[in-house]
Amino acid sequence: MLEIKYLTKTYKKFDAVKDLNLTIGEGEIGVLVGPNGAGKSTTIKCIAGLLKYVGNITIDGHSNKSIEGKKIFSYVPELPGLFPLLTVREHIHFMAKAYGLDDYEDYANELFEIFDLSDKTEKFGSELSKGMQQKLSLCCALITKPKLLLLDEPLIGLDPKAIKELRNLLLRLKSEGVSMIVSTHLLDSVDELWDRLIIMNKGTVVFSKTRTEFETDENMSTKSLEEIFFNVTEEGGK
Amino acid sequence: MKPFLYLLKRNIINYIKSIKHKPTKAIPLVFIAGFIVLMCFAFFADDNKTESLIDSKYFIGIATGVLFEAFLFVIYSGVTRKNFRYSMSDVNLIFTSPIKSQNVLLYGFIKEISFIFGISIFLIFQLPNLALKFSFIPGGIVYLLLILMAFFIVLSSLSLLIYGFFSKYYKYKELAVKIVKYFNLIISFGLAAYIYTSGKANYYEFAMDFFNKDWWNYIPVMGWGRALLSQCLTGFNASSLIYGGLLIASCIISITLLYKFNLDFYEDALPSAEQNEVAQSYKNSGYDPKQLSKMQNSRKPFARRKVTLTYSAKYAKAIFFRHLLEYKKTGFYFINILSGIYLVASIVVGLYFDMPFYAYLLFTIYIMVISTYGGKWSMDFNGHFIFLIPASSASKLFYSTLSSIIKVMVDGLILFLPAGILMGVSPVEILLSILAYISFGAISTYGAVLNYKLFDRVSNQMMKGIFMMITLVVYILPGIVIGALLSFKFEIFAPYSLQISFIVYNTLASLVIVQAAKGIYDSIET
Repeated sequence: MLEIKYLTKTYKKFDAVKDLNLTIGEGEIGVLVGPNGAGKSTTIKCIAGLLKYVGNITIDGHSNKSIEGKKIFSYVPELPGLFPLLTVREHIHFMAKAYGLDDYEDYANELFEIFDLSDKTEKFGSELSKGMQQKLSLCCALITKPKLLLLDEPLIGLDPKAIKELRNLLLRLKSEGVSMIVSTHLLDSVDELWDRLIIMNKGTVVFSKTRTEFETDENMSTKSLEEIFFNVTEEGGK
Repeated sequence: MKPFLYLLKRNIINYIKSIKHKPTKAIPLVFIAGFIVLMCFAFFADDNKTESLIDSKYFIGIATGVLFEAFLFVIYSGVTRKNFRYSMSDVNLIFTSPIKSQNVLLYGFIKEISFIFGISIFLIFQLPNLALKFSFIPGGIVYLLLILMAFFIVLSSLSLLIYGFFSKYYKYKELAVKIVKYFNLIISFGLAAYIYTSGKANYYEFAMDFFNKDWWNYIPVMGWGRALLSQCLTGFNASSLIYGGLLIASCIISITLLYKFNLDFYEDALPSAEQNEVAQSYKNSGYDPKQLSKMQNSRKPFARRKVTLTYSAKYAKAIFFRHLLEYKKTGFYFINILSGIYLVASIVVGLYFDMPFYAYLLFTIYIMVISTYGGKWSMDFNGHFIFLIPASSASKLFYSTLSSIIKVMVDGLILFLPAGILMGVSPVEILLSILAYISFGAISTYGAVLNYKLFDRVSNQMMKGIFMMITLVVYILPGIVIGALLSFKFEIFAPYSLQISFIVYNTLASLVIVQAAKGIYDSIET
């Protein structure tokens, strides 16, 4: 579903991401972790086509910057950017129309229900609390029914119920064949989710294993995600 | 006060260090310093400066009127005070620290003084005009600047004292707001009515004579400042010391009383700190449109109507309909408060102004061009949505700017139809003026988009702003020069050569600019 070849993103002379290669299959959830400044958000923004980069990124065989490519992925940024003059429902209407959708209302109502937004559909984006804005940002991304979902720190600002509901929803989407890249620092929260663990440090992938590879490796199967994270990043640091 | 002095000292040192690290930061400072040197040079080198001097009474008259209104405003803003200069870091770190609230308030006052110094930079640019038009005493223009700065510092302290008083005695605040509001309105309208009824022969001359009366000097604070400003033209004497002393004493008394109030003002300072934070990030971004909507969003209450618009347009076209919905919420589609102001201006110009219609066209174009950056298209850069919409960048550019062009068209109709009809201008000239106005709307909108693409990566934010403004003029200027040449020198397409040349040049130039800017939505980076 997602194929990244030799992705390099440079800011002035600094390589934020260097020669990154990554493949995510259909219905696979790749969890992207790493210390601050590792290049996780930059990688996700490159996949979303927001940044200029060197390398090749394809989504379901289409360039991520092509119109066909844009139709099949959605992106949830770390900080929600909403339209101050639109209500919750108008945000969803706009997103649906911008992606050429017609029958979206039942799914919109389901998403509002999941994220406790049903009683806030007539509120302006700017009137919502930070957590609610994040929930609306998730709804905006999900309403387009993407084949690939890019989530940059999606759990920040969410209450425990919303985290649980989001986790369940992501598992449901996974079962429906939706692929995902989830960048996060909250390792415990994604323990049930991941199919591939990707650890980044200083702009490169320092660890990438599937859950099966992880479980069959005797050295790793006994370790927690946190232990592996510290082992890998501290070794990388040295 | 030690921690605050440390903060102020470190801020200054780090700013100087940052200039050393990034020398381009010094460019605006060099620009201002160069301007001051040139100003002094031009002033002292100009031997003919006495030829076009204006009578001092006009300066004193206008200054008195302005100072009086500023004084009334300060009293009002003191009672209803919502603006403090604290940042969110002050709120989070200083407000929670074990420092006396009086000291925190004094720290805020020091920040306010630095803000006044910042504002006075804008005054510097007005000084050459004043120096050439009025007969100041030697060095008078420098005294003028210093006195104005000192005066505003005293007003700030007075405003804080009034705020402090009504924070302490908050039961009387509501009553005080009403009294001050109506007092100010009665005084302002009373003054206007007095001038209107008594100065029928010549309102302007009567008002100037009235504001030149010496009794104004006896009004506390405002009058003392006025007296000192007048003396920059008439010469200082023993009374200057008294007025200066009174101003300094009132500042000291205000601060001392304020210190004794022992206020709990943190809650009042919170909302303005949040606003200052976004305003600062907007300023730091070089007045980046991406930050503008954040700033507007932070200002509450936000005038919005509870209306909606269900549209079926898809892909890039949905952007236009979203803009339409936003216009509907803040007005009646493209008719808003600004349209009302334009309508009044158009009628007033049509009824009372005796000027050629093309001069009115040029003036409205000037106003429109300098306000182009506020279009809906610029707000979309704030988020990621527009970049992800599955449509070509060119179509996104077309639909995201369409609302701005239609708004210009509606504004053009409001500005030129009533004025043109009232002035008895031919329908052809009205129509051509509207089209010329729209063509300027198009070139300045697309020029601003191209500038965004060209200069977004310029790291020095002030330079970025200057570049953007200068290049916008570069796009527009050829059209004005060609128009002027065709109409005044060669008289081609007469009598509508100015408007026709504007329309033709702007349309062609807009098409070229659109070609250069059409990839703007390909990536969030330019």
